[in-house]
Amino acid sequence: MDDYHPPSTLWEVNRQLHFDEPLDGDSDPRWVDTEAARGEYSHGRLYRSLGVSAHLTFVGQPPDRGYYLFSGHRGCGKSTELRRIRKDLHTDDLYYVVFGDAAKELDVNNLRYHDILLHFAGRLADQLADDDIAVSAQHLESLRDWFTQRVEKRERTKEFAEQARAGLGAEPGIPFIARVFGEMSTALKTNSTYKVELRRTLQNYFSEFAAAFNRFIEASASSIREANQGHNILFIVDGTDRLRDEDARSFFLADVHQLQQVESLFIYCAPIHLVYESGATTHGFTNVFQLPMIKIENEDGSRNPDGYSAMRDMLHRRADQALFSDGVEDYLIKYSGGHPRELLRLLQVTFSFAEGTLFDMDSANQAVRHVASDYRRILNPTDYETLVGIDQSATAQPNSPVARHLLYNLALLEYNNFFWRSHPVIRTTNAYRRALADAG
Amino acid sequence: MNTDTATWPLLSEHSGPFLRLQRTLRGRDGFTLCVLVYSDTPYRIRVSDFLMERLDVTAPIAVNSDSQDGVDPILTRLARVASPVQVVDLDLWSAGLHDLLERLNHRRESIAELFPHPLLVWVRSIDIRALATRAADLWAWRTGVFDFALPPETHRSSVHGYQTDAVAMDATERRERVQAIRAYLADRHVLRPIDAELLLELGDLQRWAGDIESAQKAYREAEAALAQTDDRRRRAIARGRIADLLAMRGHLDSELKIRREEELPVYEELGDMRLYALTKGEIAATLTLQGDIPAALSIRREEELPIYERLGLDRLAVVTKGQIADLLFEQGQLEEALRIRQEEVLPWFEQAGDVHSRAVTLGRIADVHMAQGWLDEALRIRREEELPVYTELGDRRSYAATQGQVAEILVSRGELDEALSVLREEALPVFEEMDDLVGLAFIYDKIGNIYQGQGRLDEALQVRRDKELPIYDKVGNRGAWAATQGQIAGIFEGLGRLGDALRIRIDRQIPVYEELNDQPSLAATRTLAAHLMVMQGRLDEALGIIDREVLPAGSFLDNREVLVPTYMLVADILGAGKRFDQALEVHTEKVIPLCDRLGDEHSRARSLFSVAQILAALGRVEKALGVLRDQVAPVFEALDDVERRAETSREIEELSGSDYYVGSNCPAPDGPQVCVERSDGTRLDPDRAVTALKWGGPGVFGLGGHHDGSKLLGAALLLDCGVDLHVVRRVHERFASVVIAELADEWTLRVSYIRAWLDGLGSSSGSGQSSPAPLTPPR
Repeated sequence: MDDYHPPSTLWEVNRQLHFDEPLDGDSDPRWVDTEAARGEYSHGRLYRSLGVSAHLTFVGQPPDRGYYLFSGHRGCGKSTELRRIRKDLHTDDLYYVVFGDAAKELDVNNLRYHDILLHFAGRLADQLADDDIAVSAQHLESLRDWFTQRVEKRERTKEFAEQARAGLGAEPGIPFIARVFGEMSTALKTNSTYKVELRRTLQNYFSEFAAAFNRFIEASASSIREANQGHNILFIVDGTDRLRDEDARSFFLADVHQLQQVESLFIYCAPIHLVYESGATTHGFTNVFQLPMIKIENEDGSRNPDGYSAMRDMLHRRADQALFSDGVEDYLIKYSGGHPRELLRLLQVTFSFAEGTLFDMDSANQAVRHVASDYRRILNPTDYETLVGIDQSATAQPNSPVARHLLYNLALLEYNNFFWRSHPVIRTTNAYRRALADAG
Repeated sequence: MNTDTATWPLLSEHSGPFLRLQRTLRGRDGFTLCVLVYSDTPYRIRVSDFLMERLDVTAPIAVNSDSQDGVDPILTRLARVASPVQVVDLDLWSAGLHDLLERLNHRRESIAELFPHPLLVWVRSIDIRALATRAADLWAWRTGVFDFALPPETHRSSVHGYQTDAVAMDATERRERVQAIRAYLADRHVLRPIDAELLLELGDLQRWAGDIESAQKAYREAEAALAQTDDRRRRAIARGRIADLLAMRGHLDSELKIRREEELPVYEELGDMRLYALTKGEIAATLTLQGDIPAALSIRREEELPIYERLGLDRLAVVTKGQIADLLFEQGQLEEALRIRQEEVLPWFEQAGDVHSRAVTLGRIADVHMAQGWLDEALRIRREEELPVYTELGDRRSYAATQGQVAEILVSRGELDEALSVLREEALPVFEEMDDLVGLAFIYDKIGNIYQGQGRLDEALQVRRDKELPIYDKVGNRGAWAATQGQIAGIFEGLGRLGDALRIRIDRQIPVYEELNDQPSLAATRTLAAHLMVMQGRLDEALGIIDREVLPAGSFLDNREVLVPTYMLVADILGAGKRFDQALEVHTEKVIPLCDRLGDEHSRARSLFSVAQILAALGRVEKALGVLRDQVAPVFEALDDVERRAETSREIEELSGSDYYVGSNCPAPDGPQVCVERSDGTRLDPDRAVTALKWGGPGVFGLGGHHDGSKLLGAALLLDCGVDLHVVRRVHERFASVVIAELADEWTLRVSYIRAWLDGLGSSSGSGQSSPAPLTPPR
């Protein structure tokens, strides 16, 4: 990490600036600890729910079961933070974390709760195999039997089952579970000819599957403890914030009880607008943790030095400090609204406008105008009035469909203590200024 | 420079998006989502083809799968491609765009994994909102949005449709057009790109009317309006207009900076090689003004011309050839300049039936003839070939300018009154009527020159001060203003007001040249100031200026145009002060090594000629003869410099003889009456000599290498005594020095430029055609 040198030319910055890669905590030299910069937010509350202290040790008895939502704006750093949580908690003294990214590993287009749970059964088995943690066959029988009875012996999925277990013996060991559930998950993802039938099976016999999975989890947790690789299993599910709207409603609202038939600790990533729409905390989830924007301004408009400092660090790990003309970093930070991906986008667009060897103020100005024009394309004329109203309101947040829509498309940003502000680039537009003038 | 799109196939508005896309894709790998916005399918196809050609992206992949198969077939096709790809026809998805967008959104990670390359997705402008909301996650991964939508149909008032030619319009037309544009702009609250174009036109019109301040304001407003857009090409063009004004005002370094740093890179990146070449041409023009003819020639020949030829822009290629001929002309390569004009340029315009350009080309040929001394032929062309064409075509500006050139020929023929009449009656009224300040300044300058040549110094002073200077003030041409101040200094010098002349040089000229960073003019002006100081007897001060300010600048520039002649001047001053040893040292330690380094054999021979004269003055005649015979004569012979070869022969002859004598009619070397006679024995016509001398006289600066006593004395007396002259013939340097030393200080200080002028006088008088052309004043 010490050997890391940020890109020292604009071209190099451009080459290395990608939006499709979440950072893997402090093992990635570009990662910046933003916890303190997000206002009063910290992962401490989440960790305490899991019985973990700020020093990353257990305090008291950790919970056996819990379903947590981890939410935040698109691009605010949820995936990066979930990976950091994995890194913090996946220790011999704490949890055996099984991490999965639904968006990558599953088909989030029409994803149901059982798809996820089936996938994670396979992932758990896979990870145990990788870590050489044995689970006695008798504890795996129920899961093996479920497969045999509900998949292998059914005429329509028999052929699939044969292919899935080809080369495996009858012994219901970890490799067996890893293979067959992995194959089922792949079949569900890749739209195979068996997808519909497998889904129907899962749905019809989900309670059986959940019970078998529970036994597998229980036995695995015991083996993990024996192997001194953690005290309990914690599933972290990234990518579920990407579910299409109706799937998200089913997953987080309608099917929440099915989801809880699997008894373990789960952290699910959830879309921010749904959290507001549903009040998800009262609907079966143990707790909701929202990752706010990096707080660059306090509610009274004064500058938050911690926020600026963290975002400056972010920039300087993507581009050498010497590449910025005076004041450009803070200018970009100001117009990012404390949103990390928006900051990187502004950097990217500034690069595209730059004509010299530096990120200069003229290019940064043009970048702000350009990003503002992206918002002009997607906002309705009346949206500006809503944004002005929210910006002018001291505390009360209108939890209306329009406001949620604005949150969804990042026109509205949420900061800690749940105060909302319009995206700063939008405030540069004539439409916003007109709405502001009209509002008196 | 106009803004047509000969080599830029897209709308100028799309130059910015194109440049940003090009920049984003350069050297980039990994998944890169670029959203390309369009509103018109045929235009989208044009852009798409252009991107394929310029950015090495593949042909578009159409989203035409049956939606029942999902997006997998599309991803499979993408996975087979290993380079940036365009995706089109999203709106043709059978289940509708929203369905496709949602599917793509949920396969975002798969897309990025399967296709680790730039993905250029064409989206209709009306569908962008759907993309941002239905595929919000995919949208969140966009690297950039590049807008190639056609500008919305906007109301074009009649003011937009007018094609103006600021050059051809007369003052009334120009004023009306300016009023029309102003009236239109006054009603607009928000300027659009199309209005920026109007502002550029307004600036052009105002510029031609000499209203430089307003022109600058219009250009700046255009620039400001364009700064709100992504139209990088138009912005560069607007910057180019501002550079034009800087050039007009003599801020050549600033102008070049814009051309090189703001215009060229944009045109090059855009691949708009036509504008690129035209801008190169502007740079060459400025370098020409700066006197860097080799660099200008190199640009014209090696960069500009090949581009026009490659693009098939025949007219521009021919025009550039003409400009190359101009540069060759400047370098003294008259035959080659003439050949290009006659064999390459003229036939093309004749074949094209372009009578105007043909006439212009003939005018250039006349320039060459004039330089060759063929004044009658030059005059015939001007009067019989050029003027009738301009009259017939109604091109009054060219007509008036050509009349100015006719006057120049008449002056060269010594027909000063006739020349004055042409300037006053044919040229001046036209430029006055057209409100053409630049044209007026051109004519006033010629009138001032004639007055000076006629010795009508008060009138000359009035023209320079009351007519020329205000124009340069108004148009902001600082360089020309300073040069005119130089003329005025020359007049004061002629009037014997050395203090005033010196003050002008120091207080008015030098600060402007410093401001403009015009090093050659600075060096020349400081040298002239040094001359004046010497005339005032302030020899050491003069040498100090040259030593401290002229020579270091010359060394810095490594410019022999400044350095070699300046050192020669130093030697002259030292010689005039009878500091022969020091003069000798300057030649041997400075001039000759410098010439060796520069490979300048001609100047080296001239320096050695002076060395020989100094040696002779010191009584080392044999040594002097050796230098002349062995080191000077062979060089002039080899360089085919007939005049200097003859001069060297005469010098050898003189030194070889035992007696030096004063011309037959000269009563005594120390008497007050001294005359001038040519070497062939004929006498110089006093009237003509004086007139011609004064035409090129005060303020003219020619750096010489040696003292020819007869010419020096003759010239000094010409200036001082007017027409009442006798003959001094074959006066030896040593003797001349004695005589000069007895004359007023002022006379001795004129030696260098008078000598140079008389060199010209001697050569042209031999041809029997006319007086020599006036020496070129410093810029």
